[in-house]
Amino acid sequence: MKTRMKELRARHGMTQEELARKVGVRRETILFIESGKYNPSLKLAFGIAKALHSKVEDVFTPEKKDFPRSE
Amino acid sequence: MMKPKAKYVFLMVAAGVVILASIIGQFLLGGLDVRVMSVLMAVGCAMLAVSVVRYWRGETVEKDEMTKVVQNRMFAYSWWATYIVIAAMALGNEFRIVSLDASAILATLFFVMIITLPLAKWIVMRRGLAE
Repeated sequence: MKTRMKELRARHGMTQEELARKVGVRRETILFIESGKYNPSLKLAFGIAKALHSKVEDVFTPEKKDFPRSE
Repeated sequence: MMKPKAKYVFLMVAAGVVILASIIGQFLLGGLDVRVMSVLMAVGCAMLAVSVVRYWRGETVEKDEMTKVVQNRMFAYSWWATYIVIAAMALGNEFRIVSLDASAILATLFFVMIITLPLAKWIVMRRGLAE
């Protein structure tokens, strides 16, 4: 999953800690999502998009490897 | 529900009680088994260290969806390692390579589980959780 979280967060002048507090998760979780090591749940993805004043599809973009069985 | 900061203070007090219990048990109540006292003291110190660090860092969220995934996976890895050790011990015992009594088996399993947990966490965090 590609994410523009880091870019959008910087645009809003928000630290990882602040975003984590806004969406109610640990800072580590934000770090892992930004580095592509964790795919958030739908609920968290929508929460992050809302906190970044964006649409969820603008924050997260699925890659081809996310759909290995669809040709 | 208890606020996180209050929870850490409560944990610090509980740690103090455990540490005190181990000291009182050793010196005032005629002496506990030294192994029991060591385990109690270690548990108390670990509780105290964790609560102090978390209080100091001001962590408000203790668990979230990712920590739950990490926990589930680390327990799964740790249990698999334990199964393998149990199988090895059973085979060793069956073919009379080692002779183990119940106490030795319990101690081995306890330490395998304790040691493999942080190791499993390290592996999970290093591999990442994206699927």
